[in-house]
Amino acid sequence: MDHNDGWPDGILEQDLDSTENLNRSARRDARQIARDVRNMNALLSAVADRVSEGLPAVGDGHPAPAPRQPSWKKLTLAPLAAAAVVAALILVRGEGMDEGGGPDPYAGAPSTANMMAEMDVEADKPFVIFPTSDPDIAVVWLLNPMESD
Amino acid sequence: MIETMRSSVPTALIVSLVLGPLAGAASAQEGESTQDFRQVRFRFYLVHADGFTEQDPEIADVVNELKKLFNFRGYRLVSTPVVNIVLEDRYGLRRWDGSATQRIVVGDSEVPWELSVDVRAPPSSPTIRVDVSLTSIVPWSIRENARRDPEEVYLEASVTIRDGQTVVLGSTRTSAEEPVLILVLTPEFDPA
Repeated sequence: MDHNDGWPDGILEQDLDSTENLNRSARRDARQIARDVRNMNALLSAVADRVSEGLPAVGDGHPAPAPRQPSWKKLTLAPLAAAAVVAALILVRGEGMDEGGGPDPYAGAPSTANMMAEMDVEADKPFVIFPTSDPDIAVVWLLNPMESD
Repeated sequence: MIETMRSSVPTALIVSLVLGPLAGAASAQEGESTQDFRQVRFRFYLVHADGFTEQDPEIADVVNELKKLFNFRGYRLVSTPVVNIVLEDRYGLRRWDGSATQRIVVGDSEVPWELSVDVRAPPSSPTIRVDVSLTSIVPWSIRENARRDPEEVYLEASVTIRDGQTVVLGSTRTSAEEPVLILVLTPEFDPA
């Protein structure tokens, strides 16, 4: 096979193999970034859907179409809303999911931020860290951005 | 007598000055040699969150905490892999690292799963950085490309964790048919 590119084919193929090995971590990083972008887009989309659920219904119960807003507002509000949702999940610790239904003694615990910083969690999905009553146990819950609820 | 003592005192000082650093160097070398590696044992518990209502004593502490957070009806312990990893400074970079993989068969799954653990840490650090993933393994016979990653990643995360700390790694289900998977990991550092 002659590409007429001035490089011997054998050397070129070997270079490709070695380059593949060398760049494996770089490609993994690129995939990670792409996943993060997809996850963030999905999260922002979910937040936007949640916001639109609060609009008044008209006629047959369908929600009224959202008025068009300037794009800069969406760009500003969407990340803030996403951050608020995640912060609420962390601080409230899923009160709605609490089986016992009792008061939550750890809501807003100052150790949450420390724990998050110490654990320095990274994942290819959005996640929430739940502190527990046992200082030696931490719960990291990965969220599925495709899940509707 | 006094002359003898006068002559012996400087000699003793010189000897101690010479031997002192040598002894220190020897002890330092011994110290380095004992810290060239560290063994970490990971205890994993793979749990399905479902209607299994009996309490399993092995995961009782974790389940007690999970019950405060989620409304799953029960938790089923399906596998308890133990992974030993020796952290070494293999490249003289003052950074320990090590990794291990273990295949496990869960329930009636048609394909084995693979638990991968990649650990790194600065020497003498009280914490380690752990990359952990749980994937399904596609048999070689039906792989289109042997260098491809396993097809399905169930759980994957990186976390900094200290000796004896327990991290519960859970994930929302990807479909109604699949159980919610929870991977509990606890590292135990062997004393240096």
